[in-house]
Amino acid sequence: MSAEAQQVEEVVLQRAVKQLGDLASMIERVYLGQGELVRKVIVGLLAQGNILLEGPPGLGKTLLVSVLAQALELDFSRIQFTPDLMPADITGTTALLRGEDGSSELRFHPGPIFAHVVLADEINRATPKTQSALLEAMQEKHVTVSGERRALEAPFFVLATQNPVEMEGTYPLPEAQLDRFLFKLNVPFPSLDVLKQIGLETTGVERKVVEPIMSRSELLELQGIVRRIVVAPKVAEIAARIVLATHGDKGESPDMVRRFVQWGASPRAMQALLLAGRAEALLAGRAWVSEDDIRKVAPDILRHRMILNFDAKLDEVTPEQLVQAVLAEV
Amino acid sequence: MSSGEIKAFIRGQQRVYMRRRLLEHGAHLAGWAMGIAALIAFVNLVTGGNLVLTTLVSSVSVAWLGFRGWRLHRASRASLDELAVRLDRHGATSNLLTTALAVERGDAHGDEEFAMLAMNQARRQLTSLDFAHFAPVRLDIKPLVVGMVCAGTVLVLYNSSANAYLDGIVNRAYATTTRSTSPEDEQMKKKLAREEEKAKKEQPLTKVARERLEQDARALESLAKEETLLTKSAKESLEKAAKALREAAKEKKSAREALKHMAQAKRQLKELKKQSDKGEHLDKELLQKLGDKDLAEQIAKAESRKDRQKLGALARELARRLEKDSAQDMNAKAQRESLAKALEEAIKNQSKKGAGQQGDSKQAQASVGEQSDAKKSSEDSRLRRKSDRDSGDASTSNAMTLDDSRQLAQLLRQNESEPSEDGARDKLEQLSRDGEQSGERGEVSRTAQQKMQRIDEEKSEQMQRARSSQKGGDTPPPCESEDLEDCMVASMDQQLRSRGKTGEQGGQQGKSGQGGKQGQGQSGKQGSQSGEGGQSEGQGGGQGQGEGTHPASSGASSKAASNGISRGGTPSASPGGGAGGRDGKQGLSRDSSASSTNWVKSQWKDGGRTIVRTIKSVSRGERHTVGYKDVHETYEEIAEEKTKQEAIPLKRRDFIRQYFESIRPE
Repeated sequence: MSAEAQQVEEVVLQRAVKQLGDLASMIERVYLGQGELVRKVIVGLLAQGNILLEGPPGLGKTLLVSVLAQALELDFSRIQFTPDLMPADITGTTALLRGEDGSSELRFHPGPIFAHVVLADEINRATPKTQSALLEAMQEKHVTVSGERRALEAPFFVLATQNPVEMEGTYPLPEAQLDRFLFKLNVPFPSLDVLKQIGLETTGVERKVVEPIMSRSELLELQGIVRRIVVAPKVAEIAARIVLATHGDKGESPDMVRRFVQWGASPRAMQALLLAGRAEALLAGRAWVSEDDIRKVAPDILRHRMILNFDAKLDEVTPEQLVQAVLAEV
Repeated sequence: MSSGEIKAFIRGQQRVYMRRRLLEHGAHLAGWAMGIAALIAFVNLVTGGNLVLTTLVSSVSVAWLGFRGWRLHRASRASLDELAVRLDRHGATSNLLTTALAVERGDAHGDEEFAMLAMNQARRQLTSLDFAHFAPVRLDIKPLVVGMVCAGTVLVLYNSSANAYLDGIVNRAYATTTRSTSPEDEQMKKKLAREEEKAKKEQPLTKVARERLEQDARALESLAKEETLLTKSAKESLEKAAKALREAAKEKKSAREALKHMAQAKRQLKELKKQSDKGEHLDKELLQKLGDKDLAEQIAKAESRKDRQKLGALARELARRLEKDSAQDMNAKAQRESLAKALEEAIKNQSKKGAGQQGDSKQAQASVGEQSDAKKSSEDSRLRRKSDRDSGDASTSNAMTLDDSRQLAQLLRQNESEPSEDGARDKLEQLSRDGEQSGERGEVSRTAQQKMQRIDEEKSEQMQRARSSQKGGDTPPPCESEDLEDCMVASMDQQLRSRGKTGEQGGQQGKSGQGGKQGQGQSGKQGSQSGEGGQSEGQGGGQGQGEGTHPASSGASSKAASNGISRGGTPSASPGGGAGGRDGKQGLSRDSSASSTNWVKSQWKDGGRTIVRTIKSVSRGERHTVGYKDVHETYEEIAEEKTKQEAIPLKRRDFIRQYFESIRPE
């Protein structure tokens, strides 16, 4: 490789790092006190994955997504899931319209899913049938309405939220469906200083404006760069060992996993680890993935992919504890 | 750096790494080797140069050491990739070397340009990073210290002064364990034994020994006085022996002197024995001078003392007299008669003093009966028969009584543990019958009869108890069936009976209609359909078929309904589904006139039976409901009992118990 080409690549990397840094800063300007969360959301975006956010109401989950969409100049839509929401409310319907000349035609009215960034608020309140409509779109990147397949324009990014407080009358996503989310992020409660800042800055006259940092095409380019990041076999082996260690009967699983895990992570977790690891490496300005990148993203990737048994529920063992045990063992 | 330089660099680091590991292992194994050498030397010292043992210990130890070394070496081996990871961790290079090595090898995944970027980055960093301390030597000194201590100890032990001390310890220990003694020790032992014996002989006799000697002396003196027929020499021998024993029994005599006197007495008695063996100890003249009565007495005495020699001499004298007398016919009869009388009386007197009847009397009579005439012989034979009868009867009666007692004791013991055994009872009956026949076994018979009475009483008590328990109280018998459904059915039956409900039998079996129509929602319709099919109805009719397809709509209440549980068919086929939907409580009232349960065959091909409960209120057009409390009562006991039988881990039992408490109705 020539020196010039090498330089170009280095420039590309540096520019990517800068852009992503600017994006994070822009979001954090409006969405206060959640730097780590913002960074993870950006990683998920770069890895072309969907994210499940879990946290009590009022923590700004909707704000985060809307600011992200504004900063990226992407179409944003918000779907408030309710028990009576039907799949057609998400995907859209075909309606019969009569023209002025008396003719009638079938016209497709796209649903809110036809956006780049979709916020599925309180996804656990909708019925499983409605949930599956969204999950299908997330996986396939297209929807089928009246027999006609309609693709969703890239980038397509879903941020779903779950409210852990009101579980009465809800339909929590089954574990098999949770597997489709790249990350499951817990939205932490802001600290004292952050709360103070939130109160002062959001209740005044001045309103913060979100400026676009990058375009849709630039984002797509960045997503492409992520997939070019180099992974050494040894690093991939470490990721594979981590996934295997979540199974009680395989690999070097710790005792805790053997006792409390019914089903471990699937191969999707392995894909997620490498994709997210690459995104982390890009954020760090590296052209290669390191073991630390894998270990950094592992908790968010694994916590919703391990199915715990009854003993774990009785002994109040959390998935976080299990993930830490796995990472300590490998 | 050129291509392959990353690999070469890592190889160089690998050599450094392995050298350091070898150093560590060497120190570790050296310590162990010293300890093993000390062990071998110690074994050699203790066993006194036992080659076999020493060789064995050496071989095992060296083999173990070799194996340990191999294990250590194997564990410390690191591939190039693993070493690269170590170097990256040490240098905090974020797996740069690992990636560069993979790129160099050609098995990295990713964009080629980015791969070259990584390579260049690695090359730049390699020159600037210091890997000198990436795998420092860590010596484990514990084995070294222990080994040195062991070696030093053994060296000290091999020192001469310490060796002698050890020799002494070892020899004593060895002697104790092997129980062997040297010739000097043996001699010493014998000498000690002799001196001990000597000392014992100088000591005076014990009081008990002296008393015994006195006793023996008195016995000899009395014998000399009593035996009037002894010769002079025999008497003298007896007296001398008695005197010698008295001398020995004197207080101040030592054991040695006493032994001398006793030896003297022994010699005298030996002489006497020689005479008596030859029969020369009795004075023949005195014998001949004895009267018939005296002779008879002497015979009786000799016979009672079992003095065969004397008896023989007396019998010979008697025979001589009889022979002599037989020549003179006139006096022979009178003499014989007087002899026989005297002998008889003497024998009687002796037997009163404690002699046995059998054998002795026969022997005495036999010696007389040799020369008897017909009358005497008949008299003798009469005596003989009487003697036989007495001894035979006594032994027979003794044997019979003893046998029965034993039998009874055995039966009593047996009946204590198994009172209802018929075989034992029969035996007791026989015993009592036999006892009635023969008065001598009355005691046995009475005991057997008492025992029989006791057995009969116990049996009747047991039967009464069984009858009363079968009638059934409020508490149902514990369910032993493994099938939960069986238990539930049985419990339901029990409850119905105990409440005194007498429902109608399935008079409406085979008819459809009302019950089915009362069904609500989906399952209600199905209920009516199957009701028309001729099923017996329950709350909503429709057993087996319809409800199976809509388990949810069959309803919790209908499942728990008093119709019980369906068997076979689909598992979710719960009867009484006509109660409808999830909320099958649509205006239904309680019923108190339910009948006992009936069985109805399911309409399913492979279905089993199902329970039907007829509710009168339904036939009157009333609505019916079954309270949760009623249902709960039916199932609570069974469920909890079954829960106890299940293998639930101890630490989860509380949780299960809390669950059941939470669903208990208020």
